[in-house]
Amino acid sequence: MTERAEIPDDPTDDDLVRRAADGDSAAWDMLVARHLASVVSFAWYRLNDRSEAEDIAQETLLRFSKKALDWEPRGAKVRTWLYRVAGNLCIDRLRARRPEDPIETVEETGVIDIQPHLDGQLDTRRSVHKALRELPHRQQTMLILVYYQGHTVKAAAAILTLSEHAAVSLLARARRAMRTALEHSREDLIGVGR
Amino acid sequence: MTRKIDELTDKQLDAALATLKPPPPSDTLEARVRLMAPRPAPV
Repeated sequence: MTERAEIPDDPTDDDLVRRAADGDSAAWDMLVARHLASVVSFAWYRLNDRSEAEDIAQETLLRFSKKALDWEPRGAKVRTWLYRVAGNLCIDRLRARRPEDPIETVEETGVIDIQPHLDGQLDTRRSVHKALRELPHRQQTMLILVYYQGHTVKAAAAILTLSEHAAVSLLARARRAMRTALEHSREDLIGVGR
Repeated sequence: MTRKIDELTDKQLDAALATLKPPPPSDTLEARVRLMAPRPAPV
């Protein structure tokens, strides 16, 4: 059996993909640990359904596993590639949904963190998710990437293949649309951030 | 930029957005995905 060199401290994603493609399962496990939760949460924000979000994440990682065998390190970053694939899968899933399909309510996920000042105000959370779902796809993706996933505008622009300037403008439009959609929740938010 | 009196402030909007927290991946999903490691073609 061939001796495999140890994975260095703080390996890059490209290092891990190369190793995983050579059959190093520990490298694949590290990639999964780095990216799976982000892909699940990205899909969950878009679909508001835990089961569907996990399906999307599984399909995304399955495709990435195949892609890893001929991964080009100078191409897109791993994270960018994953978000693009997951985003397209989410769009397909949303298109396939019939209007009468039930959508998981925010309470059913059981993992919503209730801030003390918003305790008991489930309507606000329901309104936020509804407003988020109703944003145009690109505004929705931009808001999720920057606000919820902590990406810089520049990184989000790369994922959406936009200029940084266009990404700033898209994010501003997304926030404006959310602000308008949530106006009726203002009473629930009195005292927050004044 | 002007803002209507009854619009949310930036902090109120941020607070509203922060009410949503995604679920972590389930253990079964993580186990399934770990089994998907690339399989290099035999030499």
